[in-house]
Amino acid sequence: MSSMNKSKVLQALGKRWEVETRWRSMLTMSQKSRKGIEGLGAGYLSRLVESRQKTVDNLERLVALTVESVRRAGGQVYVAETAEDARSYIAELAKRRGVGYVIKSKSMTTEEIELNSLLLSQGIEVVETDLGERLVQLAGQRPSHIIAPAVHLSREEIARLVKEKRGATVPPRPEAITRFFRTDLWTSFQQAEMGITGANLVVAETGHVVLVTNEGNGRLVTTMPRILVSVAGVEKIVESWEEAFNVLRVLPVAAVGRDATSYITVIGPGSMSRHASVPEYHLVLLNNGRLAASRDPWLREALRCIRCAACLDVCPTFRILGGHVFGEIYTGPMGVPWTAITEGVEEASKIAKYCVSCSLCHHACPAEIDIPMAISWVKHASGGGTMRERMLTMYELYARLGAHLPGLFNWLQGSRFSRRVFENLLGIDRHRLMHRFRGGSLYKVLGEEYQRKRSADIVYFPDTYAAYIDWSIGLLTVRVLEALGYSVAVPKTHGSGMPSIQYGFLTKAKKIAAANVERLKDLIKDGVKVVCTEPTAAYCLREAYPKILGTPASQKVAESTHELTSLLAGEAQIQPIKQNQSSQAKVLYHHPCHARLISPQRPSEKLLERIGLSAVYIDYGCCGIAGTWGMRKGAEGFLISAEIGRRVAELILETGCKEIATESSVCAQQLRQFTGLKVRHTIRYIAESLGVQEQPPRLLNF
Amino acid sequence: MREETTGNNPTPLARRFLAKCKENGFQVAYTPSYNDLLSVLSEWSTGWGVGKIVLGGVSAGLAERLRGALSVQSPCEVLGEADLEKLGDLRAGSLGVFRARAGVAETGGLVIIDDWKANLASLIPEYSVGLLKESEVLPDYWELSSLIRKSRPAGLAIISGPSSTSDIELTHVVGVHGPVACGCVVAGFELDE
Ligand code: SF4
Ligand code: SF4
Repeated sequence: MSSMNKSKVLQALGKRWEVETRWRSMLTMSQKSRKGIEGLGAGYLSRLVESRQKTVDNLERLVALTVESVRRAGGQVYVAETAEDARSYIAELAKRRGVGYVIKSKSMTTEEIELNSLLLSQGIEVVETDLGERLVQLAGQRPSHIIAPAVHLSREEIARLVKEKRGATVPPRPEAITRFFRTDLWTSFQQAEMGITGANLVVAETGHVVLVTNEGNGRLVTTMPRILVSVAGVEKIVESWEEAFNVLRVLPVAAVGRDATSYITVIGPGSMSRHASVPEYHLVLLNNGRLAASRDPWLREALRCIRCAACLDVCPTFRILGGHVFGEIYTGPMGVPWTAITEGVEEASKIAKYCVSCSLCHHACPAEIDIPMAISWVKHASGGGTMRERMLTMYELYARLGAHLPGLFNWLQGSRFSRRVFENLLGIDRHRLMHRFRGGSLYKVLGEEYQRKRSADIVYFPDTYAAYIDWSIGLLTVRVLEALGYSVAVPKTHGSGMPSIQYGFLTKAKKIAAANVERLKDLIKDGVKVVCTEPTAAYCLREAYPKILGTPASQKVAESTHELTSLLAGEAQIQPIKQNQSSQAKVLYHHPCHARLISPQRPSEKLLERIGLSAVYIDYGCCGIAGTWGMRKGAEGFLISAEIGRRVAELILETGCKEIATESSVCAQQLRQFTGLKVRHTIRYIAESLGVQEQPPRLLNF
Repeated sequence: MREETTGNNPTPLARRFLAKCKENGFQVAYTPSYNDLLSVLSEWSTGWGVGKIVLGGVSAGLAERLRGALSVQSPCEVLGEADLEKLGDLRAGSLGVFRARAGVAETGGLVIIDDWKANLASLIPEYSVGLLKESEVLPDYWELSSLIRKSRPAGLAIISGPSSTSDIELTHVVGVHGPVACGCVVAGFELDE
């Protein structure tokens, strides 16, 4: 396992137009998708997840049912075990029927089986008819995004491509280029003897294949030729039409924020065509690792994927690097488990390194696939991270030493010379703004009594920052909770262990998780809550630990865990800040990535409003630091992190806010560095409103 | 008559359907009578500058009346087997009028079921208009499931807007391989004479 490929990253960063366009496009698409999903309501999503999970649980039975239905309707079905089987079947068929010209509608499964190259080697002309796919085909490239394959090409590049490959001069305008291909591809539609499609779904009860498209090429591919072949991964099967519509209702919403795409085409033996009905129909059902994945605890969830691309659009590293770096055939977040399913973990590990474990893809995924945990497992199964990454998992040890020797550590972090040494030895980029140490630990400041308490209303889990780097947040949290009438215990725990999860050291992560669960489990009887001020800690306790440990105790801890601000949101005592206390009227609220899964409703924003501030929120996604990753040297982290940080800062500064509220200590580090604004933990505003004094009063970091 | 001027109002479900279709980029109309339908079709085809009209999957009686009336404006033919080899002639400047068998109100889509003529008329020409009866509007996809199970079609198409793409710099462009513009008419009268 290696870290990010330096030359590939630098090359990608060098393409300024691409980076800028992709970031803006993905930002817009993800905002549309989120808005659409929020407007859709939970019922639709849970029906989708249920339907998809039912497929995963019944894969073999559904394959048999589909085979029966298609044959009954007069079609031919071939169940291909491997990619090789599938492509040979189609190539043989084309040969037997004397096919010389094939048209295709967009299909990732045919990319997976590398069908085009085999057909071309047999002298068969293959024309992609989806506009984006056609452009990529003409450019001799592969798609860089699963639903926007040519998003990396500019209009000028496309116009040049048309000139070079099709011999036509078109003005570099999307309308003119589209118009050209309307005519150019019509010739192909008329000429083709065989049409090949993918499948968004296969409906087992009737044997139909469902295609979801916007351009109409899918309809023409299934209407014009005399032989029609559909290729579908077996996981695309749903049992009934009700289940098909559970997926079809959500898919366009998650993909582009719309209730419907222009066309849903349902095909099968004898379906509508220019020959009145399709004369010859074949369905190729592809296994290629899917059945095995349905029995794999880490990969089975990924089989629920509906290929909406919502995960790609939110992914911070994908937005910067794109699918030619972060991806093989399957790109971006979903590309990692899907590469593992179809090509094995070693191949998947080559792209897994571009994941920084922000968890936004899990939050965005309508099928609720825990992609980040699957990626961590791929990193783990392929041998874990690099030596430097292993050192980063010792972040807590570094923080503890800093708590003992704050003067020395603050000096080291400030000195140019030592920053160069840090950079060369530990791989921490010298340009990264580091947090200063306050000195001492929260446990020491609070005293033994809090550690020994066996019964309390709330168990506070401070994580590394509030325990060792700046205990003032921890102290303030305890005082606020006490002012609200809670008794609080603060048992000595390890940090959440996120770096171990992030870099794929799951054996170490398991040890840390087990120790923390062991420490917490006896304290959470009778509705006692575990409260975190660091969103990453809440994410680990709630989401990651039960998956890593799989024990009843970890489940119990998960169910008891809350983020501080979601607990405080229910407190009626929190009232507006009194006049003449220092406060900014307009505050930008930054919603940390790991908080999105835990408190998707943004309770902090509502709390800030409740205490009389005007909270401004922008859904720009990840601020780009992702824990220790954004601190890493150059192309391994900081350079990409800075690309994101600068863009996010621009959006924040445009709001005119002079201050930022957030809960994540690392987001604070990034936001301070790139906006230059003061960043404060939300608890500081709440404390102010309750009249709880800060001890000590000086703001050190955030 | 067109939505805004009709004296005879559509049912709430049909109204919801038309509103959603409009949001999806259709031109929409509710026509209480045959004459209303005729005036909508001729108004739209004039607006689009249509040079030729083809009817696909429309009942023989209605097709005959429409052909007679619309031919005054532009040549109007009923799509038949003979056209299959010269579909290219329909690509530019023509309008396909097709009979849909259902509409889906929640998502705004016209459904063609097992009708190759309607399928071609909705797909090949530069413009297309789908006709359906008010009673054929279904609330949502799940109602369509029952219809599919009952009628067991070999194939269907749900059309929810003009053909479009955002493949070049994510700029939205209409009219890629299918119609550049499309219309949807809900008829308050019997279409299948
Ligand atoms: S966790 Fe974040 S960085 Fe990793 S794949 Fe998902 S969105 Fe991308
Ligand atoms: S993993 Fe989820 S978000 Fe990503 S494409 Fe699949 S369904 Fe969509």
